Amino acid sequence: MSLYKTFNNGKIGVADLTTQSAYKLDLSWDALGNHVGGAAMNAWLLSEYESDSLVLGTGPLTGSFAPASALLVGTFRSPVFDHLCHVPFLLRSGPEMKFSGVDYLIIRGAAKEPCAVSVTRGQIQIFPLPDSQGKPVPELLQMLRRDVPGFRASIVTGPAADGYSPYASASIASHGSFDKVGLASRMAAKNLKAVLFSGIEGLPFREDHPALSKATEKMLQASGSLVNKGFIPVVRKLEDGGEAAKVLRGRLGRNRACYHCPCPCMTYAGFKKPGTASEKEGLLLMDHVGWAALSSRSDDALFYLQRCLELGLDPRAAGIGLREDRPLREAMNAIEKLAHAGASIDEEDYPSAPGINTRTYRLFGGGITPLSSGKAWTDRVAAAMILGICPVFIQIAGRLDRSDLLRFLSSDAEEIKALGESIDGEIEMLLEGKIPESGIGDRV
Amino acid sequence: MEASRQTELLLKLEDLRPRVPEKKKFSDWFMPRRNKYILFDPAKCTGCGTCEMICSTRNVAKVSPASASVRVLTDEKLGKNFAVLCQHCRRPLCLEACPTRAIEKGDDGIVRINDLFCVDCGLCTMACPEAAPLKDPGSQEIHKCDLCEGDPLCVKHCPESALTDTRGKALRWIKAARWSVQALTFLFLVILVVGTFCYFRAGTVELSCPTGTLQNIASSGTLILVGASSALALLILTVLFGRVFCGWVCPFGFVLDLVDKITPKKLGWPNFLKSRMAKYGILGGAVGSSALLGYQAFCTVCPIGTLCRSYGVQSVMQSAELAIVPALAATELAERRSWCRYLCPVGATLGIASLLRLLKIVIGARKCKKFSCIQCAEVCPVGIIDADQLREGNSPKIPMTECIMCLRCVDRCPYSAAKIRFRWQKATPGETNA
Repeated sequence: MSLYKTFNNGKIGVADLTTQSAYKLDLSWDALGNHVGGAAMNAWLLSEYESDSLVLGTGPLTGSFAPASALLVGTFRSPVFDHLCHVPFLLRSGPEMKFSGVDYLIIRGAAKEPCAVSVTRGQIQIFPLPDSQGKPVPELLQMLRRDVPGFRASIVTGPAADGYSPYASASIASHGSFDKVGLASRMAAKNLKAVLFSGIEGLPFREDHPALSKATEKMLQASGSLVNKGFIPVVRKLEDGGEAAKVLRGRLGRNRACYHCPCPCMTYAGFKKPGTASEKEGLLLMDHVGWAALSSRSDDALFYLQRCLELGLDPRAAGIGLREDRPLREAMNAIEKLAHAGASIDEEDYPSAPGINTRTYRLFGGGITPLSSGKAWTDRVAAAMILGICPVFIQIAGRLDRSDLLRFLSSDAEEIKALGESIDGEIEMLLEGKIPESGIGDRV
Repeated sequence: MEASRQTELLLKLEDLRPRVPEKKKFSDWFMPRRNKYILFDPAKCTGCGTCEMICSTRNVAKVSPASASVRVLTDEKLGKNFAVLCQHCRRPLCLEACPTRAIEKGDDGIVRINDLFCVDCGLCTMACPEAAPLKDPGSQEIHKCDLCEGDPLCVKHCPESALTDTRGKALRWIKAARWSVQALTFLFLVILVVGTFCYFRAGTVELSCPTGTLQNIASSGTLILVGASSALALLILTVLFGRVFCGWVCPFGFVLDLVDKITPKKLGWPNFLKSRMAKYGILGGAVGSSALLGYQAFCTVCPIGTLCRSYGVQSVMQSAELAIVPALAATELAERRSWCRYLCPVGATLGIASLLRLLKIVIGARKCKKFSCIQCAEVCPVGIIDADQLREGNSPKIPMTECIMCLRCVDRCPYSAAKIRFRWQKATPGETNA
């Protein structure tokens, strides 16, 4: 039995914020066969709707036994760069979306008042969120927990998006994300404060999958891919990562992994707020490039990162904006300024990564940790974004090739080959920015 | 008449689902079986959710983390993980709470829910200190770990080996050693040694307990060096190792432990007598009355002394004294080691000496499972480990003047969190002194 056809809900959710209505569509198997899933499928779905729509989607492997199958992709036309972008969301957002009953969620139109879209057991609901404008992310989450109980994963925006800052960044709960291309701004334009998922349903799996998963993990362990775990080894591989790692000495806590990831690349860090002796604060270090940029403000960098996360602001932009060694109060004011419209960090080529085509880097959110460069990075990351695998893990696990992942979709060699060819075609389409043409499924 | 017949016809739960009595082998009285359970190491857990994923595949034949019997909770600020999963308690509260008796504990120690009888009321979740029976938010069914019938999938698939299935420590040598030492010293002091242990009737061998020596000084105003030196030796032993005499040597303590084995159910010690300071009062009274009466007043009724002088092969079988040991041993029916906790003046003297102790028992908070386990508190014979503190997630402060150094907590703790430390040492790095 091919998981490719079974590990899906077969549903596309559509939330129309203008009319405050929601409905579901059946997912066409032909479309799934043509576009595989993830970013490629999102791009196709987006082509069927208004250009200001936002499509959230999962890959065929998201939530499955494949390692690091945590990905949710947000596809939209970037208001900052005016081209299609695919932003990866990790931790548990992908599986929670898939197990909530829809594989793809199209959010169209714009609400008159701030609102949240919630998906539970295949039901899409739009909740008004009055008084949510300008609320820091932790406060917004608290408000959401009170008003929309039971959600298990969230994508939210903060005051930076409300203030129309070009450096606003959507956040997975209060942990930040790899969004550096304006997904938060797109959400703000829709008056959409949060997208919430409650993955309490499940999907059937192929019986040999647990064994296949364990075998993959053993293979990765034997190849040494899973030796160095945690935030620091990944940061060290970045250009200015050595210094960024030093700043965290003695402040690191436990490692954190995304859904079913054998190689955690995130770590909690503890710190004391400047000027306080005992108040212990902590946060999850997730955005490697963001931290590398921000850590130039050595002693208070964690405090600044916390403020960026509260504001829903891209920490990398803040790091670039704060390069000069400013006193605490001035630096905080500078961060607050970045969270408003018209802010600029005077770096034309932002975001970019060494050895990677800038447009391609922005195409995939502008924040994915560049652990390789050139075509190797592009091919691996693009495949991960289509299949629903973490794009950072796929770089860390260099030994893991596409056929290893496709084995989770089918045990038939012919089918795997055909899928591989489809993915190649889709990668080409994604990189060229082409939008495929074909009809969408039937309205439910 | 009709009404009474109707009452007779009504079936009770006991008729439908009679409670199966727990089967206990003879050997279990001395060395209880250790059942399998899953040990969670929060330091290794990365919160990847693989355990939830794999567990759900067994529960509902789908990948559905919300339907798992294990749940990993994460403190999103500091990243501390905690796994909610069944510990297969020795005395499961869920089993007691279940109104349909759908929860059963098998001979293999696994606590299972019988789906046929479960009505998904959720009372088990409320009763469990760990809230381990988990309600599926989708189907509203209750899922509880059954250790995958002995081969837990979560343990096999955890990428960080944060979960291990274990029966605790393989060799419970401390318990075996203590029972052996207790039996040997009982044999030596009660049967073999000619004379008595206390000062009251010194025979050819002169031994003296510190309390006896104090009474002797008070009654006669003289200090007999031979007796005082043996009392001093006991005091030095207490300073070095704590009240090991009470836990390992005392022959009456051995008798109390045997009585406890025979009568595990307790009647309860009267609340108005529940004062550990009482034994210090008795000590003061014994010394004072010895001074007044001119002889060692407490030694006439001391259970240790009477045991040594009246029950040995060469001892004088004095009818009145014969009754003292069973009479005081009967206190064990009320509470474990209630004599030692509240009344024993010998323990009080050693308790005072143990203020200078070098050793202490600590329960390290980092390793301790705390609110779900509390096995250390359960086994402590003198009840000095605060289960409420453990449930609240704090390291309990152990009053070493009351601790009889039996080391049952050290022996029992499946997480190796209970340890012996020098009094100036911390429990584990970063923790406060207990």
